[in-house]
Amino acid sequence: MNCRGIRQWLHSYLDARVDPNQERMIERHIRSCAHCRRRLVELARAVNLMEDQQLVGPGPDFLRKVFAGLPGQVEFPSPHRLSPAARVVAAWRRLFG
Amino acid sequence: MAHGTPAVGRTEVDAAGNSDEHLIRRAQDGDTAAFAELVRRYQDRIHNLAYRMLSRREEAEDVAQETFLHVYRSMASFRGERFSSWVYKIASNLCLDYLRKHRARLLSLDAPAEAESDLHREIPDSGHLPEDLVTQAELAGDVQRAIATLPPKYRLVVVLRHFYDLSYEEIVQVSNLPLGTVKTRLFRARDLLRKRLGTIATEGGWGA
Ligand SMILES: [Zn+2]
Repeated sequence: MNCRGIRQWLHSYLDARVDPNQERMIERHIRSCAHCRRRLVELARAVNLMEDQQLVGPGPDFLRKVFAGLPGQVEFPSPHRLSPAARVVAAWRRLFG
Repeated sequence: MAHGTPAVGRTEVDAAGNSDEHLIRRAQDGDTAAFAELVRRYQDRIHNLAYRMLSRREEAEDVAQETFLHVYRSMASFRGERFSSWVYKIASNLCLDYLRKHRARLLSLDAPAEAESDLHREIPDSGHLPEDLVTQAELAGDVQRAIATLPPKYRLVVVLRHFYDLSYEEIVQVSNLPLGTVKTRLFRARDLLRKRLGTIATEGGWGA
């Protein structure tokens, strides 16, 4: 397999979507080809950087905003009907919000 | 995915044994607490999806809010499918719509720049922080700016794959694209990101 042919395989390899034969073929190539090896390392670094990112959540009053935007008069559920975690958050907001 | 995020494609069950699908059925019956619980479960993931697509927090919050409004309005038509796929599909479509409508404005160069200034806002006094925290914020800015350079249709596929750990087949479900198209766009997106992110030097190297 030449370098051009191997490029698409590098992506399948990164996603672990290759069978053992394909895996051997790709690994044999990248062992002997510094160019494709570097390409794989750079792809993996780009992927790792993305996968290391934190979730970026909304502001603290998001749930209330969602309810305020619902059609009709949807009552915001009182804290005792929420999950234990949501109840703690609601109590905390009453005290410090 | 890192940071203790619940795996996106899997069904979450809370301490009381409520799966997403159980909650949506209760919400369909008019239980607003069940709907609130679904919002609580998904708000970070949906907001993050919109942020990764739009690079702006304010707009991301609007689109996230619109997503839950859409869920509320159309939940009567929800059937059988996994709830997470359904809500990601709604959010993805709203993000792509938003990008289409506001293309001109978002193309202006300040959009990606905001990614970094946002992060710095969270670190009020970065002068006194350990070196590696600043590096993390800079990296986060680099990553978001790189994603922002991708065409939206490539962006969606790579975000679903690497921020949400969705498989090719799950991305097919969420995006309504054929499998071949998902793979083509993902591979193309990664080739572009490799050029922008692949050579960034980080402590510990790429495998760390
Ligand atoms: Zn080669």
